Amino acid sequence: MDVSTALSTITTSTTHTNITTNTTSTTATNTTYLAHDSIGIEANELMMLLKDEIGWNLFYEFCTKEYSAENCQCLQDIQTLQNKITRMNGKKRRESCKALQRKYFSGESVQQVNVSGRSRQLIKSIANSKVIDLETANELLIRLRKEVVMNLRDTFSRFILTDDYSDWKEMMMNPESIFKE
Amino acid sequence: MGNIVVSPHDKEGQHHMMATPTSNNPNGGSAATAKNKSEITVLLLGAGESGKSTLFKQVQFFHGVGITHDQERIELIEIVRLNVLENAKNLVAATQHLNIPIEQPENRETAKLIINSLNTNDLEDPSWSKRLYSLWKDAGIQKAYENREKFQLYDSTEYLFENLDRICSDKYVPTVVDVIRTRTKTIGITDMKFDVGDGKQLRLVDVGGQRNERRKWIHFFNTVDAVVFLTSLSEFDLNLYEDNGYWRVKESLRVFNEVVNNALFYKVPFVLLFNKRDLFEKKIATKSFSKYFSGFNEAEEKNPVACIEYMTKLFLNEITEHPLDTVSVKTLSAIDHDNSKQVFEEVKQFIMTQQHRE
Repeated sequence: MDVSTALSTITTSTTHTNITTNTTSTTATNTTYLAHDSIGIEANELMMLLKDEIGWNLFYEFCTKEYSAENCQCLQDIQTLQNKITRMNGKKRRESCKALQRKYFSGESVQQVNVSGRSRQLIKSIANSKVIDLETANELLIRLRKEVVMNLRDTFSRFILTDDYSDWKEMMMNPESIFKE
Repeated sequence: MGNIVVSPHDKEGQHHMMATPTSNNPNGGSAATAKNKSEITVLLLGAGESGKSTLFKQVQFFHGVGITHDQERIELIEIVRLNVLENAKNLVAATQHLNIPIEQPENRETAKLIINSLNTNDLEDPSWSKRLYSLWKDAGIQKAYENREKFQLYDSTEYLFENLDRICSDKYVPTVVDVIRTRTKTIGITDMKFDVGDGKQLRLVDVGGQRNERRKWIHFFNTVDAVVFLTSLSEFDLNLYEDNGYWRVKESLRVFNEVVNNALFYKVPFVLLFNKRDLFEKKIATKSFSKYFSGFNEAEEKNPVACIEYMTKLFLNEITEHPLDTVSVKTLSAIDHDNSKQVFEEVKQFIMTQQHRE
């Protein structure tokens, strides 16, 4: 049985959604890798990696291979929004939160990020409210960011076993070593 | 890139991973030719927290792959400690949510610090071992723990709190058991390969189990030679992480139905593993099993064998397409190294035997 036949025998569904995890073209350049200090549960080594441009790019490539790059993209977008949100007016703030919700946290999103049902409900409810005050928006972004970082932590637990990570760590700890050999 | 099919009748986020082909899959091939292939691809599938990655890590350890050396496990200190902090935070939050007071004033102070400022670096200080253990033993926290089906908590909670002496030390190096017991929600897809004789390699593929992660499974559907589907026996009183109002057993049955009846898997050996037997046996000693299954005889609810037989029937009833003679059912305690080794060896033999029959 070929695939299309298999498909038609299983479901009558009509909505096809492309999976877009291989989006490396958005990575290496224009990277807004993390600039904030780690907060609570966002702990150190991963944060060091994400704050460094080379580290970020190596990690992004690894995430892409493991089909989890949506978390990197989401983190970038949250970071960008966190940097801008204090300067946004109420309308723009609401639109931005709504856009973030649609892109990563809606059931229909092709880049849906793996967060708890509670967080998904929270962003849906906030994004759909008529007014989002700055404090609410900031708290929401912090919460979402923590969850996305937790996701990246799983990928990171495998990334640390790669040569890329060893080389990067060596470069960070002994920058002069890259000129040896 | 492959497509997925979303049923228009689904609730938000409840995507089916029915569809299959990934046109650009570099390892493309038909399951029908598996007998002649030098690489056998086995997918570990199942809903979230069914134990796929725990089994995967165990198989890594059997084969000397992954984090077998102290130096490598040192890299995971932070992840183990994060598990401790998350468990502590979830328990403290649960006492508030369930309106259960933390009894001792010093434990209430510890709880405040956990919620507001404690981070993994702080746990290098051995004094945190005593403070966290004291919190863990607080009557309020223990009462919340007894009601853990009402909120999300890792299975490893008790283990981690009982090992705080080691974990909260500047000399701490995670043991293999610590790594196995540490819960990390698996994101994306990862794999490992090992030799199985006759010049063949087995490629074991581990995946995330939550709904959004299941969309990614299809990347491997058309290269698969066997499926090992895990479900947790101990989830009968729990709701989903990604959807608090949805019963885990219902989700597991639904995912199993979609996978086992997928046309691309008709010809491949299929193993159903009922995992977390250890936790399940402990749980039914204190919790009612029959409360969740109206068709189950209440008089048998403390008998694990009867309960597992009932669960087996529930799952096998979902099989409408797959030939039953290529389905094998087993129980597992994936956190138990020896049991995992034995069960995985049986699974491997079953798969190899089925392939020779083709």
